[in-house]
Amino acid sequence: MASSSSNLISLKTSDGTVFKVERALAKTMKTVQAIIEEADANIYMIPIHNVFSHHMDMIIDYYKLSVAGKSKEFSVEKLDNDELKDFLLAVHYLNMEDLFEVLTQAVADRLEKKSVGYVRKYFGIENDFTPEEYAAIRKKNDWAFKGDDIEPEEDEEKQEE
Amino acid sequence: MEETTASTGTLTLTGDDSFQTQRSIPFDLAAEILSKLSVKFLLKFSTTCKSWNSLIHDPKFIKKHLRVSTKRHRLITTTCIPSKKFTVMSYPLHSLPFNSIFNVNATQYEYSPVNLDYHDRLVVSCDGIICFAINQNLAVLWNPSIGKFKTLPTLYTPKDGDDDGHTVYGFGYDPFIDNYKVVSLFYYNVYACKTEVSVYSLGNDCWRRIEDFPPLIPYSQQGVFVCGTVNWLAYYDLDNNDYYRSYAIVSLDLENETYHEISQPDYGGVIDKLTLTLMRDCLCVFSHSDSFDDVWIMKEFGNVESWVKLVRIPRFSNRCLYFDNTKILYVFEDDNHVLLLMEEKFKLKWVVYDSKNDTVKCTKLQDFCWVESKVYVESLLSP
Repeated sequence: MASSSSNLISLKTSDGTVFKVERALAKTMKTVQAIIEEADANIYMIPIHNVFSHHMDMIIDYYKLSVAGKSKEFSVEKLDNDELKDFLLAVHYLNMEDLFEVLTQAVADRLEKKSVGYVRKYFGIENDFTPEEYAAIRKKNDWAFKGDDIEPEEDEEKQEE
Repeated sequence: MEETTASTGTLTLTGDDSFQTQRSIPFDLAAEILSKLSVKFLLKFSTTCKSWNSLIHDPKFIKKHLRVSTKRHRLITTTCIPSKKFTVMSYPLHSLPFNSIFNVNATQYEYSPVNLDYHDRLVVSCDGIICFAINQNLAVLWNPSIGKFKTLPTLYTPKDGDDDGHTVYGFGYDPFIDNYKVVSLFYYNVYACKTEVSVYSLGNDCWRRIEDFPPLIPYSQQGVFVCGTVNWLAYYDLDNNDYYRSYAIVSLDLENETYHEISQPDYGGVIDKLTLTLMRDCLCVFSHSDSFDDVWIMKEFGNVESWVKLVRIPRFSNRCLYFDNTKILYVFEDDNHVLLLMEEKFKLKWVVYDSKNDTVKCTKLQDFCWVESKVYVESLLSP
């Protein structure tokens, strides 16, 4: 399936779907743009790893809104935290500046009230503090753990029972 | 414009289509997310692991976080009843309906005042650090979000007869050395135009005296830091002719440590009083006449053609020229709404003025006491 029109670029997602997108949209994906420039001649089809078709659907939605000057209307509310993370990883891979800013902020907003334990799992981080080190640093920042709607830590939850 | 075509075709799932819910996030991406958190949550998550804890102390990350934070203006307010109560609160100024500024997301900070029988006066806030003037020999710096406090070395001030003199402080960023400075302008014996100007750089342990202020009489509550300079209002007229003062904006170049004058806009009428401040990172003048206050900003520092009038605020309700202590706190991004702090019959009112519709709405009311209310942004910077 050669892209006959020079204004459309063919992108193939991880799940095998081919999207024909405007060159202008492809330009917002720095990773894709680099591939196009390196290829020099007419590029046939660009595979985009780690990006699924449902990600592309949202990317196209965002593009349409931002072209119409309505980028503020773009919402990721319907995505749960893990779906949002996956979408962010896809956009990060594609290196799309504006959408990246929107998604990193959305993730930050979602994580604010979460517990440290949740955040470790979400990011895939190990707690490399010794129990003494953790106790010290936790004590120093204890005020930061308090507030309305903040998810309690796992160790605190046990104490409450 | 051509429509994008999404040919959905047949979804063929490859081998690893398992929707992994716990993919880990690379460190650089984590840092991007963290830079968008407010300080409190950043500090909480610094307990996640060692690399995240190091991150919040990393100067590059602190700068990155500040760049994001600078767009989120807040209002920091100190209320003081000497030897009884000193409260510090901050409120969000961005992306909210104006009436809820004081009701949503208010943050309180713990602060132990230095003055017992007077108030620690909030001079200005820059990049998350607040400068308090304790008295004419002492200032302190404080970052309320991280709880770090720094007492400056004592400023020596000469005595000349009975006149104790007066110190005007200024605090801000010096791009020439990529560091923050406090500049003190001490003036005494106004008839002889005696002044002493000193500079303190963050990290140093003493004040350094520089060239004296030019022979004018300083008339500012603070030195305003803009584009590598510090600016004050001053006036020439010494004949006690209060009604026709000739004001000048005196600017100190932080690199050369020399003074020159900044040209003012054409105010277009008789002006009784001026106030110099910072707004939107630009030098800003409020020109006060008996029927209105105008807000002027110098969009391009040093270029007299770039003075622009942002908004006009007429005198309304019981405001009186000579005892009017109305403070213009903030002009919202729409260039239309203005946040003001007014005194009225032993009460303090924070009001939002809508200049298009010429309406005023009171958003907060409290009993009169010593109050300062300034624009503030959060940061991780240590004073």
